[in-house]
Amino acid sequence: MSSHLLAHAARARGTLRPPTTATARKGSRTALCLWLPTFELRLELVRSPELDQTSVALLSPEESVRRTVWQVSERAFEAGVRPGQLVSQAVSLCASLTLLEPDPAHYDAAVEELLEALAQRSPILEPAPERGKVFLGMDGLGRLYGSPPNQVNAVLRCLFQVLPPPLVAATRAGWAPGTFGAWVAAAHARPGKPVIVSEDNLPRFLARCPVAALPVEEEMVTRLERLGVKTLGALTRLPEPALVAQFGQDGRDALAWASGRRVDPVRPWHKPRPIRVSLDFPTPVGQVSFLHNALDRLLERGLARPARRGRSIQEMRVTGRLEGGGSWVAEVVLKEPGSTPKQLAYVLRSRIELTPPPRAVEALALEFVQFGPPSTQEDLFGRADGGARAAEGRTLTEGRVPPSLRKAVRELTLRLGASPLYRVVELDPWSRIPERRHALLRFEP
Amino acid sequence: MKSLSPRGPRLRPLDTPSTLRVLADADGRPTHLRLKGRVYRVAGVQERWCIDDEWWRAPVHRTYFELALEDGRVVTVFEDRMAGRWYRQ
Repeated sequence: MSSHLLAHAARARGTLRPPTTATARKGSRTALCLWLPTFELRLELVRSPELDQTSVALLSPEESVRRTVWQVSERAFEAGVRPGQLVSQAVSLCASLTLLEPDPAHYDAAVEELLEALAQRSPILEPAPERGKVFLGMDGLGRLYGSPPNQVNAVLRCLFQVLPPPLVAATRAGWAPGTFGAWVAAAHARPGKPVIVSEDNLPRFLARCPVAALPVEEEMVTRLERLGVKTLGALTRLPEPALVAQFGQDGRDALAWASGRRVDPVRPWHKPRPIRVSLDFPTPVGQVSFLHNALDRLLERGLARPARRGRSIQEMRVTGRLEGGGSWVAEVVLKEPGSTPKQLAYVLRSRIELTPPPRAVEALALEFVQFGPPSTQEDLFGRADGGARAAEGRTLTEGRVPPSLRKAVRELTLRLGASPLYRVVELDPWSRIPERRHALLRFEP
Repeated sequence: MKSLSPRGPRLRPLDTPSTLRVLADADGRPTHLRLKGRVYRVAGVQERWCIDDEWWRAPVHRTYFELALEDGRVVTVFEDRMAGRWYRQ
């Protein structure tokens, strides 16, 4: 396997899932892996075709003082530029190197389009965490498309809907039982020549592969190679107790993968429909405080969306279109799902303080990506916002209804047609007949 | 208390008495009562009082008992002497 592929396999480590229970093991046993190496750089070259065949390097999207190289073109690779090098180092190796800023929003949009096109061929899709790699479940599709090579060709043909022909031609395809087998097959494939591995041939096929293909920690791979175990075939000749003694559960998993005994099915991926709100600035905004204000407005709009009602937010994504091109993305996953503007704004602001946009922002978008359980009931009597409650013995009077309670009543009234809340009112508090003392009056602040 | 449908009346009663099946002794003291389909023995009478009111319109004549049940709960019941029925307050 080339160093490119080894590097990619190293990044892919840990992306395969632990074994699941029988109940959860739904999905497709037969997997087709489509892999387009340097996916992001290729998309940039589609946008800027004049850079094709030149030395190009895409900068890493992670923000730090010292930028590093993320992906390199073939020409740049031949000049000695490697992913992970500092920019200064890369430029010193290749004076004519063109550096490109990443545009994560554009790459994510391309992935969305790709998945929509592939969904026409298979109902079971599982995108890998890294862009450019996706698994399709192929069980039962033989009746539709025929033999495995025909199935692969049918899938590749649908890529033309979203990718230009050169990118489709560069896509590698591997067809095998399980996601690990399919990924290794795709890594071995050449553009235009998919690798198809049957169930019977899987152990023999895997035996030739280097241990670097295993989705385990890099340290374990290094130790295996130092021990003289270079291929998966050599690994399968080791006794399992010895592997477990050395590497624990990882050793057992590695043996199961290497021998073809462990077949991880392609599990269907359900993407919740995000709620997206956006704002265009008349002039690019560079100050973080202005961005905070804009986010507050976006939060208000997003939370007011009817589709959000009753759901708490677990994950949010802020995307900014940068002045001069490129984009900036900040993702936030909340420890506890929230639904109050204050809570969500605090989390977003903290994140932006840590990773502010590198340049001024022309447009800002906020997405609610993942949702949590239904919103827990907010504190109707709003102690925190200075509501009507005070020391013991007070009653809630009309003039001191907290805003949170008013808002809740308004929402319920809109939804149900009338307020379902009642308040206790005194009628004849000194009456000897208990049911004459108080009554319930509909609460309409 | 019945469920508070949002389309119901604006003013609703509170603490409306509900009917109750009670077994009383010769002195009219409850000995057993049925709550939610189960019969409970009255462990003791903690309090007893009467109200006689509103004679000018619909007279109210009630004998109240504050009862301790065998499971430790305390309930307030009354006998409507006009109707001859028992209620839980």
